[in-house]
Amino acid sequence: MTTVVQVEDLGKRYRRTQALSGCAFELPEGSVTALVGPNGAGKSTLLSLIAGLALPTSGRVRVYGAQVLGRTPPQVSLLAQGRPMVRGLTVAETMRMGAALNPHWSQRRADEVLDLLSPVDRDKKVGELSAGTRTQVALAFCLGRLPRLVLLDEPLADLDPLARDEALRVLMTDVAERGTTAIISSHLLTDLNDVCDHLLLLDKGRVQLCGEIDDVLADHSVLTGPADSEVDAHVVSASHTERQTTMLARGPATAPAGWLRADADLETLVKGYLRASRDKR
Amino acid sequence: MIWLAWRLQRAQTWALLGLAVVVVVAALVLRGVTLSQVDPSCLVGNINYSMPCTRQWGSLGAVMTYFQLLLVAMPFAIGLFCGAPLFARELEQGTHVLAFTQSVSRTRWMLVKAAVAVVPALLSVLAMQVALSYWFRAAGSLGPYRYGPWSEFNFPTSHLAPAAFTLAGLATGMLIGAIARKTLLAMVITVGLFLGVWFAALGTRELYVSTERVTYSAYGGGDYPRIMGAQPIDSGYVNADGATVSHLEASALTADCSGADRTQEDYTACYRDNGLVASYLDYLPAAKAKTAHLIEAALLLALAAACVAGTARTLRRVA
Amino acid sequence: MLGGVIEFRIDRRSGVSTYVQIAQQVKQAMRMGLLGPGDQLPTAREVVETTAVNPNTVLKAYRELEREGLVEGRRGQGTFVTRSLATDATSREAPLRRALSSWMDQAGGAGLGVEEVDTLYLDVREEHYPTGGSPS
Repeated sequence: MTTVVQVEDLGKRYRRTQALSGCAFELPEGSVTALVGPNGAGKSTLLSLIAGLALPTSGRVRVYGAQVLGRTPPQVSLLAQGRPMVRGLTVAETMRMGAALNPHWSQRRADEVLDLLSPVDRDKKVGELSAGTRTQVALAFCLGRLPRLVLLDEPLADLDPLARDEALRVLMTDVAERGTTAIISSHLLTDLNDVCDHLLLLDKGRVQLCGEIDDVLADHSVLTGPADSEVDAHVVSASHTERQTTMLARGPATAPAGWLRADADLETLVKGYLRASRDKR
Repeated sequence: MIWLAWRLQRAQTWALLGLAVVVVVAALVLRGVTLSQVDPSCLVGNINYSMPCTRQWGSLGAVMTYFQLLLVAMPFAIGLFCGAPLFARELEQGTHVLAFTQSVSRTRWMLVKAAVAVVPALLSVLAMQVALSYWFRAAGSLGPYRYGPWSEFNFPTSHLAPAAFTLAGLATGMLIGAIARKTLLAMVITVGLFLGVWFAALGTRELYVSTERVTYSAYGGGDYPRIMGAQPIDSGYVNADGATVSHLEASALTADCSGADRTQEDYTACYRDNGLVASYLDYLPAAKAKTAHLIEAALLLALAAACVAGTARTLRRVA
Repeated sequence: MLGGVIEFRIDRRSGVSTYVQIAQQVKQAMRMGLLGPGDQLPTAREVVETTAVNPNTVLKAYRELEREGLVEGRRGQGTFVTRSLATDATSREAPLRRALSSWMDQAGGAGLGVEEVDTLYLDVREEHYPTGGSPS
């Protein structure tokens, strides 16, 4: 399978803060990745480095094998945090802006996205649209570029449930139709539960977990047992009550003697890794 | 792309072109008024301060000065309202990300935006300059040109100066906007900095060309030389060895020359006795203003080019 | 429009993974006779246009069904149902179904709530079709 994004030892330092360090992962073509982590984990920084918007302090990003160096690769579209748009432009003018800045702009694709749900009024100013419609316009602007890789930075923030659903449907249509690879960041995992097949968990600027969700889930289990006993497993994190210990562990496929085993679900997994990353310091 | 750059700054551009049209029309109308109101004999030859002439002239001189000041202020306004927001607004609102993540390189996008800002700015300033000069020339010896090409308002409103100052103002504003990333802050800094550039130019332009010297009788009085359009730079006395003596030293030397009933000849003799054989005047002749214009324009263009390069560099580092 | 034949409903809280839910709902529709041999399953694009799920998940569910020999993917055309799961026993007018329906009437008459009916049903089902104590 073709590797779309390849990140090696990536680090980014802003004046005083180390936003990212030692990040390494690869994502295959056609994957939809949930980039999850608490606020300030480095999600936006990571996306802007992949998009070539910012330059890394160390390491490399490759997109389709070519190193990203201070310019957005032609295959990449970024929907930046806050969905920035020129408020004074109409929807039609915004699309014309996309055409002006991209030699390979597809007005047909942009129109498809604008008409996919309730059709967007092209003569309305972007500043006068509802948050949901603005997201639809922002997605049309992103997808009109016919990207092979879309990077979406918190695309669902401040959207009501219906608009979230609509935004994800627009995006998934592109994945279904064109085999687009997507990375979607959110500090809420629940937003992305159904649409993602890969998970990239970030905390404190480091990759805590990366992989195909099904594999990752199959590789973990939740073990419950007496508080004072030891278990022969690689423990990710554990919580204790007076009598009982609950832990997230890598492996074992069967429960150790005296322990109860359950499959891990995504939310437990993410929480377990975040707790582990907290406890490290 | 040109359409887009135009669309993003069309408000300022329309305002600018509108102002230029108003000024051009006003200048043409006022030229007509000037010619019909003032007798042609007042406007030719030497400055005519005769009563009928000054009465007819009325407040035209003040009106001309206002228009001239407006032209002087245009590069400031252009730097302020067109240059500073060019990138500051995008960076402030976060919309720069839109342009920076497309297929067009940042430098190319910057150059297109700058070009779309420069062309109407230059056009409007040049139109105003031509119209005002057409009017002022009609006003002949009563108009502002009687102060010569070196005067502090004539110089920056003629020859290459308006265009050069406009380019420098626009480029300075653009650079500061890209650095400050806040429109209002950038506007304030642009005005402050450009004021500095303006006064630096005012203070140095007299040094670009060499002065010429005339000498005349030591105790000047009546035969003080009148040179059309010249800018006096320095004056004093010359002693028998040909060395210059400042006014201060001279007044110490000639303390005894004053007296109630002394004639012109007495003074001249007294000065000569004290070693002051002649007065001198160092001045910049009108003809040399052209050279100064070229040098100043070259310096301002260099400043503008440096600002453009600085903006490109700054934008490359923006995340 | 064939895509209008069935629509998937994904229950986010069930804990059952999305592709399993899709596969189950296809089989359900086949058992109910809503989908029969030759019918086309909605394309991944049609599914994601109405339900915000990952198209890869839809394709994974279809692959699962293909492995079970229920459907067939035809290159460039889509995925088609190859077998019938509908039996007379599950159709609306089947005697067994009617018997169950009258049993439900009795249960309702006896004042049983939904949960009690479910418990009863699962309990009896477990006796006849043991699944080995699946978590529920």
